[in-house]
Amino acid sequence: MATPPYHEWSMPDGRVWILGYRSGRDYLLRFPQIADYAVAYDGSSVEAWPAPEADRTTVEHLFINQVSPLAASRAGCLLLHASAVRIGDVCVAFAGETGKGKSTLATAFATTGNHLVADDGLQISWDGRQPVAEPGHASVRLWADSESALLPPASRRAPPVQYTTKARILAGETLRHHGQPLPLRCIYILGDGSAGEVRIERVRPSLAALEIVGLSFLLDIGESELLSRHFQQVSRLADAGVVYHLDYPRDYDALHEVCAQLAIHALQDPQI
Amino acid sequence: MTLPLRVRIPDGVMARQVADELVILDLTSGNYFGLDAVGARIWHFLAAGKTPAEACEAMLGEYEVDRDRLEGDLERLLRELGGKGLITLS
Repeated sequence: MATPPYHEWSMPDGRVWILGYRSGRDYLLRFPQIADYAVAYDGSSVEAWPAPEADRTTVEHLFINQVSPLAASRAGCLLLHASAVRIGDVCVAFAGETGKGKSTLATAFATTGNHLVADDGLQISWDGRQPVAEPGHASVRLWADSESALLPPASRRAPPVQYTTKARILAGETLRHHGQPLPLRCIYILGDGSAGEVRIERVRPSLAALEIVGLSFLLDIGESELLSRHFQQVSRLADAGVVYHLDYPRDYDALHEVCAQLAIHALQDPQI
Repeated sequence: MTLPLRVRIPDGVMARQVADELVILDLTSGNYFGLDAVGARIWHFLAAGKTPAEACEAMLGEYEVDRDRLEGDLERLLRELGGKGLITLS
């Protein structure tokens, strides 16, 4: 590209993850050494241009996991970096930066009688004033330690992708997926694991809005109309009073107890 | 304490009430800012066209607070908002 990128998305270690370019009215998202994705100005279509050394699985996975949420954000949808599970008749989401344990916690729920709704990309819609969780792809991405701690060896694995050693586990008998929209009862923003026990605190609405902004997929922060629409949706979500801080010790042996306490909080008394 | 005579909310600065608090977005910079319930009330008065002095009087009528302390808090808040480009001071 002759022009510099309008935005760079980086990995936690500082490496460039995505370079975002403007291409006329449209966008071009470049994952170095993997693929370019041309995204229509309104997010309505995406075209992939794989690099010669890229494998098809990786290109498809990035489309589902990264490009599609960014394109949907351009179309006006609110999408969070969150994993979500069905508990009873409602959905709870676990939001946070990479490495905070969203997928691990969702898997712990989904392997103990509950269902996975989405992993690391949750689209939120509305039913009146009620936020609604839209189901995502029926798979979860886990590091090897989480996979071996939570799933039996025979779990259905998708082919590996070239940019990470995380395993992709497909939903099935042991990891059940729920494919219908559900009322979103709580969004738990995950802490750093320094808590000695399960700690849940409601987040003040204005702070909740600011934190949700930081956890949103947003293709173009320089586009005022898009930013305005995103602001309205984030504020609406914060106003719904569903955002909490959650921290707990990162100990696989204690994870099911964490799930039990969270289920009680979400189902019985979510406003505390 | 010296309150600015007037403040103006620039075009492109949006605010939205969330419960009794407020979230502000500057579309130009993409920066967000949150105000607690008291700050949200002050913003409400400023957005309605009141001067800082008028906002201060209105707040004194609503909250049990010492005038000097309120003026100090108001001045600090206005400077912070001004520093972030969410209001202009004159």
